[in-house]
Parts: sequence; C-alpha cells; structure tokens
Amino acid sequence: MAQNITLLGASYSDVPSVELPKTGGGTAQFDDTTDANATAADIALSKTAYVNGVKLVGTNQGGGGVDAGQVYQDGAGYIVLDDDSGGKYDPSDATATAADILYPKTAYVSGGKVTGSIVTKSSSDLTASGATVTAPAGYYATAATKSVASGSATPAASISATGATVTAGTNTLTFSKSVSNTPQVSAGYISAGSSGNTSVSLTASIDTRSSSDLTASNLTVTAPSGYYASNATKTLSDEYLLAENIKKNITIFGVTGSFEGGGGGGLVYETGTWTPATDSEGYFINFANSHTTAPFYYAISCTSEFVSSSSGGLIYTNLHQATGEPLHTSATGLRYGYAQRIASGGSNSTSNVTYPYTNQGDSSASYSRYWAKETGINAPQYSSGYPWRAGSTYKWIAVWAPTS
Amino acid sequence: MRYYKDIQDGFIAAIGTGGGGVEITETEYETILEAIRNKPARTDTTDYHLRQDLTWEEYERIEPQPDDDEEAAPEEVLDILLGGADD
Repeated sequence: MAQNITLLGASYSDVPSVELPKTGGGTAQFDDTTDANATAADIALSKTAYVNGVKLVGTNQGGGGVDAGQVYQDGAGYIVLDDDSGGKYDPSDATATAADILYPKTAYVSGGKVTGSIVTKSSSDLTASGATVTAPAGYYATAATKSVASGSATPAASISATGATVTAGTNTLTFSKSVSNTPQVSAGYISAGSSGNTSVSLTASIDTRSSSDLTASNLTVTAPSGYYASNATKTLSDEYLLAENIKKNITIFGVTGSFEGGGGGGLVYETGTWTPATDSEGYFINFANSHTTAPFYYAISCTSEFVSSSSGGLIYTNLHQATGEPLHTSATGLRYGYAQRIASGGSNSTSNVTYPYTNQGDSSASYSRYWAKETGINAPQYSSGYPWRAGSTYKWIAVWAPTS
Repeated sequence: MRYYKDIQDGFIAAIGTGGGGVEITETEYETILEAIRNKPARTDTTDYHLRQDLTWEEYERIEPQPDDDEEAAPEEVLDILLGGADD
C-alpha cells in the first residue's frame, strides 16, 4: 500500500516502498503491507507472503490461497477445488456438453460452465394419435404411461345368403355360397380374443321327392332328380305274375312257380309217382295244378320188378281196347284196358280195369285228383284184394286238352 | 321235382312225386323208400303199417270185397272218347 512518509525530515507522499542501502552493500526494499488481507489459508501451501508486516506461510494445498469449493483459473484452465481433499480438477478433458446435462443444472466442462439442455419429461408429455403414442425427447425420471382409447370390432350378428348352389355328389349333397362378413370397427386398442359370433344361414331350393314321384314302365323304374328325405320305393306288379303261370320251382321276382307239366301242341299234362307203404285198395292221385276239366287221357304204369300179366306190372290207361286183351305182357309193356267214364260223384268202373274218377263220394266237379282203384280180376293182387303193392312204385300221367 | 309223403291215421301210407301230401326232401324220400322196401313180409291175416319214425306196426289184414259196379260197354267207352258223354 502506498503511504506518506517522512524520511530525514523530508515528507514523501504515496510511497509504495522504500529502498535502503544495506550494510555490506546492496539495497533492501521495504513495502507497506498493511492493506493485504490474505490469510495463510489463502496462500498456497508452503509459500510465504507478508501481510500487514507479518510473514505468512501458506497452508492452502491448492495453492494460491483460494477457498475450497471455489473455482479459479491458474493459467492452465479452470480449476474446481474439491471441498474435502482440496485436489485440483482440470475440466479441459471433460466431454460432456449441454445436451448431456439436465436442464437447468450447470457444470464446468472444457468450454467452461454450461447449463444443461436436457428437459425433464413425464407421462403428461406423452401424446397419442391413432395407433401411435409419442414420447417427446427428454428425461423421464419414472416410467411414463399413456392410456389410449379402446376400440372394437364387431362382426355382423347374422349373415343370410340365398341362392346357394346345390351340387349332388355320389353320396353327398353340397350347398355352397360365398358370403362375406365385414365387422364394424371403432378406432382404438382392441385386445386379443373374439368378439361375437356370427350365424350364417344359407338358403337353397331343391325339389323334394318321395315314393310317389317314382314312375315305372315294365321293369324300368325312374326316380326324378331331387332330394329324397327317406327311401323311396315302388313295387312293380303284373296280374299274370302268378305261381301257376310259372314253371315249377322257377322263381321270378320272388314268385316261385308251381306249374307242372307241359306238352306238345298245346297239351297240358301232369305226371307223378307213388309208392305205397302198405298194400292198398286204392290211392288218391293228386294233381299239382287245378283244372277245369277232367283229363282226356290218363295212364298208370308200374315200374317195379317184373310181374306177369296176371300178377302185376300192369299199365292202366283209358284208351279203349276192343278185346280187353293185353297188347303184350312184358313187365313194362302197355296194356290197354277199358275206357272208363269220368264222372263227378259216384263211381263208374268195371271189375277188370282201374278207373280213376273224381273224389269218391264227392259231388264236387273239381278235377284235382283221381282215385286209382283196381278191382278187376286181372289186377295183379286181386286175390289179395289190394292191387297196389307196398314197395312198388307206380307212375301216372294225365293229359288235358289245351284251353283257349 | 317235388317229393311228398301221405299220412293216414298217423301212419305213412305212401310216398311219391308230384302234387299232394306233405312235401319232403329228396333225402327223406329216399330214406322212407328204403324203409318201405324193407317191410316185413305180410301174411294172409296180418300186414304192417309204417309209423312216422319208420318202424313197422303189425295189424290184422281185412280182405277187401270186390265192387259190384257194372262194366262199361265198349260202345259207351268209345262215346266217351269222342266227347259225346256227359260227366
């Protein structure tokens, strides 16, 4: 500090220092330090300085006598003193910028003190538009959320379609119709899942059929196209499809024939055999078919072992033989006998010849069987009274004239 | 061919082919025929009926009486053949 001094009776004003010669030579300068206000803490460690006439030794480890926590420049850049350790921090290599620091925080970086530019944001800053949620740039100290509107997609409750196409397959009937279902959608968030069921109805027309629609011509049955809800049947018939019109044991459309016989030239005949189990006086020959007249010809032969003309093996017919004598007497030769009158009821016979006639004692005119009876003296067993021998097989034939 | 058996009074009276009787199979026909041809010999006073089980039952034979119907004359017979007679 400059002072007004008096030296050797002379006054000097604003004298900052005095320089005096030293014993032994040289000079010594003396400065006025009364206006200095530094303390030892303000002076770098181990450095000295005169303050108000006192020499101080610095205790500041940062040197220079700066308070902790202060920032000062020592020509090498800005220096920030650590409060605790008093160390120096050189920010010249700091890489942070304002864009890296939250606003309005400040920091010392290589370019000096900066104020952060990162703006703090929150949920209230989020915006939503359609399906887009926007979070503006900034710092979110906590998770930010934004609710969006709920949307919906509702299909039509029902779909009707007429005019479906009907296609008939081998064993299937297919209805087809293309339909579309456009759901009504409201904007917003739609969660996963289903929403509503849509019933679909298809309408197609097809002719329905039943048994009554079947037609028949001879053996051809026609079923018109259409849908049959159940089995359709049609029974074919013919008034002449009768057992008596079909040859015996031949089955035509489930009708087994019973007609026996045949004949050339339109004649109708029947044949049969019988073998008595016991010697018998007579035997009913039953025809297989009903006839409206008596046969005009009949014959009975014996196919058993040989018997003489007097003892058996006789062939009985209704053909007339004038003399009544046998034409031949071989075992199976035909022997003519007397023709017999064929009458209903009663009987007509000779004592020599077998005579078939309608049911003995039956007044009916039905010609369904004949009573073969032998009482003639030429009967093989007449002496025993039973012409039809047990064990002998007799053949018979009856012939009718054709009916118109 | 249709085979049959005649049942009279519970016995098999005869077997045959053609119409009538109770229809049987050819096998049954042949079986009954074999039984018939093995019938026990009859006598003047006894004969046998064939039961349905194909066993024989003896019975007393009754001599039949001849009919006393008149014999038709040949002319009458010819008339029948020519269709002039009435039934």
